[in-house]
Amino acid sequence: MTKNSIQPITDLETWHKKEDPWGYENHPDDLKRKNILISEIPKKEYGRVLDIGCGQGFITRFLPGAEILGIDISHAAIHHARKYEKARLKFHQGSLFDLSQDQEESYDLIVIAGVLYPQYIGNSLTLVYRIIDRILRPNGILASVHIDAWYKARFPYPLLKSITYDYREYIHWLEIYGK
Amino acid sequence: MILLYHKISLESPTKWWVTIDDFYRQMNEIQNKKVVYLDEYDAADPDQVVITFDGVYDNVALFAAPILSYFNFPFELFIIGDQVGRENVFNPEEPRTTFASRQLLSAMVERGGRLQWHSKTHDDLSLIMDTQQIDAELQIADDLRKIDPHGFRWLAYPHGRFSDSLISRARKKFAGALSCHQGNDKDAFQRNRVTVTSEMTFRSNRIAVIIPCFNYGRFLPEAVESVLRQTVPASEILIADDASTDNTAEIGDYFAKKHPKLIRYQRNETNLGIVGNFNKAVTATNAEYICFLGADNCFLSNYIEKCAGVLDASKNVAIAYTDMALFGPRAELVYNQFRKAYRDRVLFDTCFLIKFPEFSPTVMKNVQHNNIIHGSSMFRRTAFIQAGGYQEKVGTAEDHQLFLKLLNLGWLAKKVQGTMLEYRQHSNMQANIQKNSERQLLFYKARVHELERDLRNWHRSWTYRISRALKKMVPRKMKDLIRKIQATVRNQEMRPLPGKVWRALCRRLKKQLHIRN
Repeated sequence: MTKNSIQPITDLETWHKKEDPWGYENHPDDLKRKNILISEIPKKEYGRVLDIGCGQGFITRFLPGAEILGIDISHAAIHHARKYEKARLKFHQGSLFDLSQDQEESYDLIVIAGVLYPQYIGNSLTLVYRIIDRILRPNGILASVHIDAWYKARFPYPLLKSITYDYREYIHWLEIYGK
Repeated sequence: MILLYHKISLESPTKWWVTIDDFYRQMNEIQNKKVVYLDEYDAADPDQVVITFDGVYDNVALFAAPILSYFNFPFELFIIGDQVGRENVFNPEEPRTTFASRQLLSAMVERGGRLQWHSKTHDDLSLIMDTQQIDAELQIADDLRKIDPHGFRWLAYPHGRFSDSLISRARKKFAGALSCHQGNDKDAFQRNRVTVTSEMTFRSNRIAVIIPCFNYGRFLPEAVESVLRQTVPASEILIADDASTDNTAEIGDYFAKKHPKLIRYQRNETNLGIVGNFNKAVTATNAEYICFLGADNCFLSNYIEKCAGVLDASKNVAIAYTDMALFGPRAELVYNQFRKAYRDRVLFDTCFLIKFPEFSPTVMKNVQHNNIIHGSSMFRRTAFIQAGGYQEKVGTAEDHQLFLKLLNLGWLAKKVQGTMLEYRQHSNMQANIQKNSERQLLFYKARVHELERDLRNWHRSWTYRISRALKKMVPRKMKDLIRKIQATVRNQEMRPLPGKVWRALCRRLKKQLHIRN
């Protein structure tokens, strides 16, 4: 048995009422992590791109690709993100686990940043791997960025790159997987 | 065996909840059984399994159904008619959750679920004497019946309780009925079930991963982490240090202390060499399935799941081998040394995939000269003992020798699909050390961060705050008093609190107040 430690979704909604609640847009460490991620994504033509847990679109709007979709569990976050919407960039409210339902789309590049922490997903990594595997196209790229101390995942694909750097008071892990 | 689940979710607050990862592992463990619907179930066949859910809660649709679809398992859903789509307020001591709606039930039927009956209200029917009232409880609503035309042939007794009169009413309407804590294999109306909890395992053969290490401390954290992050966990992990002179001991100790039930660190005082160290390590473990992971390599996270799955499936297969992903400075060079037929895709000039052929009589003939079974293949201990373990022989690799011997003894090998060994190809020493120090740095950096976090937590703790406040408030006289108390405790004249607690408290205060003895 594990104790009840999942952060209620209402907490996230409360946070995201505010625009940019964690001050990403102006913090040098967040600008750094954005630049590292964008520059480390292997260079190629991406068709469909998915950003899981996109928040207010801090990273999403800089991703490469012909058609980019950002999803987040928080309605409030998506409300803020929508101001960046344009023809090739869309935002939808939805959870990672909703992607297992009747998601028929598949993607050439999937980005998942700051999502796979126990307070959000508990003990469910095995299902997360299955969900991502179903929607990541063959030869697709998966980029995962997380705080090392809370991150227990390793996707079942060969690791093309793994990069660590200081982020605020933590160590950040950036992993690039090739399917 | 008929399994009974209630709720599948992110965590397990009570015994009625199984976590998603544990559910996935349990489905893995029964994948070589025959998973059937109740209609086909033969209680006399020990290989048959039925998966049932009582409730049925919406978390089953969200978290269990996709996993069941992946394994292609049929499953039975025992629904409470009046509760469909509602919150489980009738179970006040349980964390709140919602019963699956008609829409979710219908989606699960499409995924291979079959709807069955768990009564109208979930009242204890064994206490009801009025047969009309029992019949009303067993009456299935038409709108629910429409969702699954093949379903509603089976009944799960509410609370698992049944009486003779209930059984006789159930016989009129159903093909059979299930309890959860009583019953037998003979009567289809008194079937028992196994209530599954998160901790339960259906695995009969345990799995050992051995990480031999000789002066590869700088890679060791990555190797160990790759074993800790498996979708199906190892039963035991042994770090077998062959008298390294680098930081292997420090890192091995760290992991063994952090995971005392799972990881052991064993050090040879003198260097035994590969064969000696490997054989000693096998002896130090007791699982039936064994695989070695070089301290400089990594497993993909589904490695154990897939390899153990192959060994589980066929008792005459002793070796499960996989493809490889070459990485590191010499990866391209080594890749080009493989015969062309084995060279698979190259991912962004960094990862070079090697695809080995399926095992066949032709392959078997050539295996002497053409080793397609790498040293990290999973094998059976029974076979290993039969072959006499790893043997020292000049000119051939010890793992190749062992696997050849197993094949000559009549055991089979089988290729595992869908996973890989990540196989590091080192460059010359110079570049090697340079690249690795970055890895090592991360390991130590992470430890520093852990300590910093502990320090932050300590600074936030009440003990710290109180002692800080005391430090500011306590005048010299108080310090003298504390000294007196300490002296009393030391002399054991007075013991208002257990001595240990007093001593710890005094020590802490003393430290805060910078008092020396």
